[in-house]
Order: sequence, then structure tokens, then C-alpha cells
Amino acid sequence: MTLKTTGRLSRREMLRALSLCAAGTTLAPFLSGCRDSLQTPESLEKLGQQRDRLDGKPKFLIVIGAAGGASIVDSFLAVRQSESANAAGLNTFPDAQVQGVADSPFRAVKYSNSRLGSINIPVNTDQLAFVKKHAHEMLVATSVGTSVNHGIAQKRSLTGNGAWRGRTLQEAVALQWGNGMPLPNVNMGTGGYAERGTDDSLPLSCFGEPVVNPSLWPLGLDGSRGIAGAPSKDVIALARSTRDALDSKSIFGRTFQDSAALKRWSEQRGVQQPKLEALDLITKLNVLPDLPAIPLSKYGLASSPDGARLREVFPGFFTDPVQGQAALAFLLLKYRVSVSVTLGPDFNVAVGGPNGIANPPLAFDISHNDHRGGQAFMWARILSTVDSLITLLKAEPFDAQTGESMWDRTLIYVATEFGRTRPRPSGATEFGSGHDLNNGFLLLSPMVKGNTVLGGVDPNTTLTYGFDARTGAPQPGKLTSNEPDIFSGVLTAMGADLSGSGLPDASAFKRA
Amino acid sequence: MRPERLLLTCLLLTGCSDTIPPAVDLGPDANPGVTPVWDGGVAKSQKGNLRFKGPERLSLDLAQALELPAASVCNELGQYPCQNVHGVALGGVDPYEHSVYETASVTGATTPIAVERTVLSACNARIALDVKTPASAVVFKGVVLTADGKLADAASPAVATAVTSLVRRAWLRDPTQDERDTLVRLSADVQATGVATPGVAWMQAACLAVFSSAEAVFY
Repeated sequence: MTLKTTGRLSRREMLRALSLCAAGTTLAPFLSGCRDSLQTPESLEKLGQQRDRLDGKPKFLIVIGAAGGASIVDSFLAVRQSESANAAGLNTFPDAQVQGVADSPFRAVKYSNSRLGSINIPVNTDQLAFVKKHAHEMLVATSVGTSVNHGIAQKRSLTGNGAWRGRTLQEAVALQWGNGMPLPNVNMGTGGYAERGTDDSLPLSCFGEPVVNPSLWPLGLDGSRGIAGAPSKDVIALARSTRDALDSKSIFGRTFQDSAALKRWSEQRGVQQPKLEALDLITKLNVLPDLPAIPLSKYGLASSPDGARLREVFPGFFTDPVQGQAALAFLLLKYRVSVSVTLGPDFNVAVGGPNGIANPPLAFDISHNDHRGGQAFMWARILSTVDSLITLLKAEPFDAQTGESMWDRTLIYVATEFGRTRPRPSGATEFGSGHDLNNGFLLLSPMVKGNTVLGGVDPNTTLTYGFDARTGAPQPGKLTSNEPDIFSGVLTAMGADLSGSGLPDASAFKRA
Repeated sequence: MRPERLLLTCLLLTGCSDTIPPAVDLGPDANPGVTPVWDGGVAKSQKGNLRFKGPERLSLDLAQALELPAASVCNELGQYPCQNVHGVALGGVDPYEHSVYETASVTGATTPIAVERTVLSACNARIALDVKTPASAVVFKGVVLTADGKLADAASPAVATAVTSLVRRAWLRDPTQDERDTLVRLSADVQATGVATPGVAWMQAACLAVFSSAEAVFY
């Protein structure tokens, strides 16, 4: 070849090379098609190439962070004493307390005691009504490895332990369906449930907007309304334009004109703020009633058109954080402010409820003190909230043409953090438990494969085991971590575009 | 003198004081100073490492600058302190009640709104006091309003001094001539909206513009 001697191609060699390129270009699609025809659905799933057809309409995710370690083996997968060879030394229940549900793999625990650990309040709970009502839209997936550190386990339950470049489920949903929404991802959770993911390639709008006081937070959605003596909107607009002009010309503004913080600030102030104010969210999201003690009208404000209904459903909205969060979550979805909302109990005591305690100290983690009472009390708290949200969403039309309700396009993910240790003093009915890796997660939605348990529990150890996330087949010997399966399962059930994600095939989660 | 001794001496002479320096107070007769005209020679910051003030500093700065009790800076519905209601939106923490242990690394979508509400409330409190008891006015000293609520004379030295006072209190510097003129001209624009009390509305607008500016909320 001439290249070897002179470093240049001869005219003939050039023509030969060009014709080879042309042939390659022509043949490439055929060769690619041949390669694609050899790929199985499983391999395509592994490449994240199978997905739902996106219809351009939003879907919604509600994450409930069950802080403190909600045990799936004390609820839907409880084990009866008669089923276990080691019943006395493990956390198995008297047979009568574990109720079966016809044509369902789920169980429901009935529990009664005169006190909750060292707290002198009665606990009388029964999960049966909830399971009967929602079993057809429930899916429980067991897990076999996460962390026993609260904060880390909380975050891992949302990122699948970094399954998709560290983004959280809420961020993935905000990216998929939140485009154009004023606050795609609102986070009222605690600890690791409230942390943002680590995928910095996402747009800023995907990261959670933190909300700590759901009843008063809507007051912060307009710059001037509700402030006594505030000037008219025209005057406010003049003040803002004057300020913006001063900022752009000032020495400070010019010195820091390339600052990321200032650019972000300008975007938030100039684009997002008007968008939020134009939606009148200070009214629409305001659950507060107009009372002498809360004088909304005196300050030119009004309660949400949905306020009375929500106060009836969540009467403790002002003192019980979870009820307040649930009310706001519904409104955020209804008014298309968000596609992802996160809520859940925190570790603090909340007063309220029929016995004076709405939330015990440490939430589910009160199980250290009283395992069964704590789990029963907290599961009742979570399931009551879930039931109310589903009822509200079912009654809320999404699309008059298709007849879909809001619930038809919503998935509730109860992130349970971690499980609890299984041993108990022989035959004891009141005992404490520690943190344990084995557990499971609860998903509820018309979009999930309902009435389904993925994985299972070995009755002789009362420990969970794994499953094949593609076929759903239980794998009793599987004890490796399956957090990416859960993460992928939530998004797969919702029909998210997982192209390029590298997430595992989790078809078993999705309703056929 | 040895350099380290010189340094030590300087440190001692400029030593820490436990008293908060009073806000700059210009009387109506004082010279309404302006910063010399900017010559265009400002170097852009390469790092641009700005920090947002956060709820405590924002409220305390407003209290000090506008000479208000900290508790009266801003209260939602007259009873819920803005510093609590909007604390996390303003980049603060809430460790005891809501387990928010770390400050946000960036400002959120609702942060500018929380800033405006806090600033506007504080401005309203100051203006109400200044207008109600002109003899003890702090910022808008000697600014005369007509019977129908207009500024008696937007070109008066008192108005210029008030603008300078606002800027000094917020930005800790004098306004440029252009900045001062812009804020004074704002009064005509406000009056043109047909608002019932244009004089007070201008005070509110000017105060909001200055104290919610980027220069006032970042450092």
C-alpha cells in the first residue's frame, strides 16, 4: 500500500476505501436487524429497551416512608405458630391472630393489648378489612438485603442502592412525567426518605422540594397575598422589575453574574415564582379552615375548595403530620402541581387520635420496646392513610374522555426501610426486636400485578427469601440483595421509559 | 516592630465587640451620599461562591436594618413566625420537629417567595411605624405625604435620603446615582397604577426591591 511508503493513499486505494464504506453503510441496518432478531425479550429488558407506549399524560407516585422498620412479617406475610417448626422461639403468631383472605396470598394480623410498650394506651388493630378491600391491587415483594442503619436503609429503598446512577424513584418519576409541572417532586419525608439522589445529570426541577409543615406551607406559595397591608399586585410587579433591573446593573450582580447560585436564583425568581403564583396555590392547597383562631379572611385568604372534604377525611391534619401530609399530597396531585409526593411518619411523638397518641416515639422503631404492639399500631396508621388516599383518588376524575380516575394512574409505594429480628423469648407475646436485613415492600396500584407476593417467607426461620424479578418465580435459596429489582419493579409497573438505565427486568411487578 | 507583633496589635485594636453595630441612620438633613459611578472595570468572580443567607440571618438582618424587634419581622396570619413556617424553604434546618438536620445545598423553587413574604412583612412593619409616628421615623424620615396619600415631593432631599438610607441598611453601601434615581422614579410608576395610597405603596415597593435583591440575600 502506498500509505506504507509515502504516508498517503493512492487514488485507487482511496476509491477502494470509499466503496467499502458505502457497502458497510448499506449493509449495517440488515446486520443490525439480524442481531436484534437474535435478542430475547429478557436480553432486551436487560438493556432497558422494553417499555410502555407513553401517552403524554402524567402518572403519579406516592411514596410512604414507613420510618423505623415496618416488618412485612408482622403484616401481610405473618407466620402462624402451627406452620413453624421453631414457633416458640421465633416471632410467630397464635393461629387465630393471622387471618387468611380467600383467593389471596396475603394475610392480616389482628392484635389487641391494653398498652403500647410502656405507653399506657390500648392497641386494638385488625388489618383484615384493608387487605380484603385492596388485595386485588396489592403487591408485596420481599427483600433480602439492605442496611440496618435507618438513614441509609431509607435512602436505599428509594434508590435501589444506586440502581440507576443514584437517582431516587421520585426523581425518576419527576423526570418521566413532571415536565411542565411547577413542583414535580414534593418531599415531606424524614431522614433518608427526604434526601436527594446523587444523579447530578438530572434537571434541578426533578429534585424534591422539601415541605416540613404541610398545613402552613401553602402560605409560602405567593409573594404578597395574605400579608396584612401588602400593596396591589401591580405595585409588587413594579417592585420586582425594579429589583431585577438593579440586580442586573449592580456591582454585585456583575461581579457574580456567572455564579451558579445567582443563575439558579434568577430562574427561580423569574420563571418558577410567577408560575406558582399564577396557579393560585395559596388557595387551592390550603386545607386550613377560616376560623377566629386562624383568620384567613382577615388576611385576604380562603380555604381550598377541597378543604372541608379533606378536613373530614383527615381530621387531625393540623396536629398529626401524616394526616396533614396526606391531605396536601392529594391536593398536589389533583391540581397537577406534582407527579411525585413523599410522606410518612417521623420519629417524634404526635398527639391526637382516639387515645391521645397519633404517633408513638420512634414510629415503627418503638418495636425495640414492644415489637408486636408497635408494629400493629404503626401498620394501622399507615394502612389507614393509604386507604384514605386511595378513596380520594378513586373519586377524582383524571380524564373524562377515557373515564380514568386519578387512582388509575397512581402507584403507592410503602418503603419499609428494613425488617426486624425474628427471635423472641420462648412463647413470649410481649418482647422487643432489633433491626434485621430481611423484609419486604408494599406496592398498591391498578398498574401493579395485584394479589401477588413476590418471594416469600420460610416459616421455620420466618426470614424472607428472593424471587426472579422477570418471571416472579420464588427462589427460596436466594439471599442476595435485590434492591435494584424493587426499584425497577416500581418504575416498570408504572410504565416508565427505562432506556439506557441498565435496570434489571422486573416484568413480574407489572399488571399484564 | 516584628510582623507577628504588628499583626497581634492590629487584631487587638480591631478586636471583637459583643455589641451589634447600630444600623446606619441618616437624618433628613444629612448628605444623601452616593457611590461614585461604576467605571465598568469590575472583574467577574471566577468562583462565584455565593451563599444564601438562610432564615435566621435573613430575619435578624431585617430586624437590625429596619430597627424592628426580631419577633415582629414576619408572622404568617399574625401568629406563626415566618422563620419557622418558611425556615426549611429558606434553607434552614428543623432538627427537633421534622428531622431536617442539614441545610439545603441550593435554593429551592419556593425560596424566593419565602424571601419576599419575609421582606414585605418587615417593610410593612417599618413603614407603618414611620408613617404613623413621623417624629420617630427611622427610614422614611421627613418624607411628606399629601392628604390623598401621594408623595408631596418625590424630588425632595428627604426622599433621596430615605432611598440612601434603605440602600445602606440593606447593602451596606451607598447607592449609585443611577440606583437612587431608579428607586425615586419608581414613585411615579407606582402612582400611575392608580393605587389608593401611592406614597406608602412606593415606600413598600422600594423597600421590597432593595431588601429582596440578590445583593441583600446572598453573601
